[in-house]
Amino acid sequence: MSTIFRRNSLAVIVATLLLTGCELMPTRDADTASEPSAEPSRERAADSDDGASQDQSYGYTRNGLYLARNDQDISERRQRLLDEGHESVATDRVGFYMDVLTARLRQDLANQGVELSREDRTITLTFAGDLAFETNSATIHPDMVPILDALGQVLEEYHASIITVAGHTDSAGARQFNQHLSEQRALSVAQHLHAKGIGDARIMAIGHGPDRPIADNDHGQGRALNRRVELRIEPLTAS
Amino acid sequence: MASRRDKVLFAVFGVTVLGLLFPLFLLGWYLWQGSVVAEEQRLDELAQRLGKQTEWAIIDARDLLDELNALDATPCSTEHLNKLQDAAMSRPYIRAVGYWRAVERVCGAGFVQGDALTPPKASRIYDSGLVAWWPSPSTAVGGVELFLMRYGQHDIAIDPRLLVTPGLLEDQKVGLWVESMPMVTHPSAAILPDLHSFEPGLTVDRDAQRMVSRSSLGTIFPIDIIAVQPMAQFWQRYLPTLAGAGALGLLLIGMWLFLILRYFRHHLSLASELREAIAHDQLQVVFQPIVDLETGTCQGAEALARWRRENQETIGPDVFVPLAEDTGQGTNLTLAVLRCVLRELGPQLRARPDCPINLNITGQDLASTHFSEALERELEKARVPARAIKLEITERSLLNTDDVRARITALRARGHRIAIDDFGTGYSSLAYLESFELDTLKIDKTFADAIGHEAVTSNIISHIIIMARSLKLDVVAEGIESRHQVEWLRQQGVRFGQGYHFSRPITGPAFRDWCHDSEESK
Repeated sequence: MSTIFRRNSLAVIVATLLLTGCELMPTRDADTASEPSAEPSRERAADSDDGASQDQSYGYTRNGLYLARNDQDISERRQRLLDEGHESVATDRVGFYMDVLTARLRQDLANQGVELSREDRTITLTFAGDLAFETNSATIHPDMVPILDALGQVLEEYHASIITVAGHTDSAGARQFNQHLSEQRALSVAQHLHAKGIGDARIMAIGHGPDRPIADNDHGQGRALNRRVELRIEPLTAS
Repeated sequence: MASRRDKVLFAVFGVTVLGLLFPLFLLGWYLWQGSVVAEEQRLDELAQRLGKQTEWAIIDARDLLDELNALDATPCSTEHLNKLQDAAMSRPYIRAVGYWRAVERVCGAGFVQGDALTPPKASRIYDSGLVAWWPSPSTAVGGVELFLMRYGQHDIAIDPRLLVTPGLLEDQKVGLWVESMPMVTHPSAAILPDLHSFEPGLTVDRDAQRMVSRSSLGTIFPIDIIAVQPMAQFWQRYLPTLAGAGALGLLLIGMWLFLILRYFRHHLSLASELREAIAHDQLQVVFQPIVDLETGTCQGAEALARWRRENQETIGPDVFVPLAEDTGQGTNLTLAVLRCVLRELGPQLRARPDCPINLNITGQDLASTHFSEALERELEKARVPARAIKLEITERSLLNTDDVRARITALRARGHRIAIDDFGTGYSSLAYLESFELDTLKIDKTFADAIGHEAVTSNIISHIIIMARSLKLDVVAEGIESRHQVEWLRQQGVRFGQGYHFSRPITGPAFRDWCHDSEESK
């Protein structure tokens, strides 16, 4: 019964958000044209989260979480984790580790609106931005909290892995705003997991802004798909 | 004449051969089909049982995993370990049950060590979170490739060999696929054809001298079973049935042959015996008087042939007359009868040629000159005038050819008179009869029988009588058996009659006496 109820409520949310998105479209296009005067709500959303300004400094944030600047940054950090001797998976167990972890995530996140994909040594969980966050905000939606809690529990159990939380936005609106929003959203998720016991050494955040769309930004539906947070889970292994 | 006989022989031979081949072929085909169907059913039943066993085991293992995950006990406590132990011990195919934290097997029951429980690549990760590793070298322990299932914190290692009950299998090689992936073979080293290389059902693979059966079970998850057995084994299994049925078939064929041969031999021996009897004048002749219905006096008789075989068996004319015609003895038979008549009644015929004897002749007799020449010769020899022998020919054998017509004319010119026998059973029209030179019409017995019973037939007989009168033919009614018929026929103007009412067919001397008596009583 509770599952059905949840599913129904999610469906209602999706529908509502899609409708809202459509209505907002012209407004946001207009905003892009007259950028400076159209920011109050967005700034408030960004500021209210952790007070970071638009000239966000990369590296460790105030909460001890790591915000990566780019992909190179991430791979360097992964190497550092290995060098520091963080617990890692033996090479011949990596397949087993990832198989079992995939199954466990499927079991725990089944029918929760989180998309799971597996590629050899990488598991990617995709959270729809409209479901996971308040509109134009990095505040995690209350419906998402139990899912992230469950995820935190699994990741704590499977601790020989590193997690990269990547925020993405659509292409509408000011680029800098989008970049900032994507970083803040990534940090929000990372923060939540960290709070659930995932060591800060295993987790990092990165914001890609509108740079890595997975769908066409010309349509409302495509933009909704592009507004997302991706969580990459990779084994820590000496390879 | 011989060609007709050859045709009959050929036909009989053909029927015999067909009669042999057809049942033989049918029997072989039926037995083969029956055996294949039986084998298909047997193998399919076997496959269904194996499939069901496997399905049941996998579902049982899945349920066990659910049960263990839902267990309330502290992990690796005595209670928990006992539960794992019980689960493993109570199922023959479970080799190990384990409790895991992430990828560490914390505790468990069973005897599996090494890396077999942590293979590098799962075969299936289901949406439910169930992971399954099909048997492969990476799940092998001591040469046995295990089937692994993990769900939640627990895993189960299954020995797939024990999913297949060897007792069910005789010498077949069997392979079992679950979700199109190989699960187990029996024997364990058996090499089986690819799952999709054969159609479902039974295939007879003649090239490899084997039978391949493929069955599928799709109740919960797809299970396919391939069973292979050498043809030799199939034959061995069905040989007793095949041999038994084959023997029965041969027996039937033998009986059929026996019957054919017996019939043939009887027919052939009868024909040759008849030829002997004709050649040696061993036929008898009896005479049935023809009577003037008005006066009751004898007006002649019809000569009827009788044949008694050497074994005293009496053969009816309905058998030996056609037999004689079929074997080219028709004219010889007629002449043999003639000789017999002349032998027995020669003096009377010479004395009273006006009381003639009717001799039955055939269409064959009329078709050749041989008969008419031989007839003339015999009569000359016996010094009997031609008018003392009346020739009877059946309506149906009276062929409408100029030859026949000319021959009849010639015979009449010599003094013979001509009678049409069994009249009314053919389809002669008045015009047709008119084209021949005839003297007498003999109305078939069926018409006499109908007198006083069937109005329509009685009507026809009146017409025949009128027709005969218009053609100026004498009329003889055959088969008269009662006084009543005599009266009726007389009223219709029929002059002559023949039948049991007057006399049965009697011997020559008896006929002479009968004739004499009828004259006396007049």
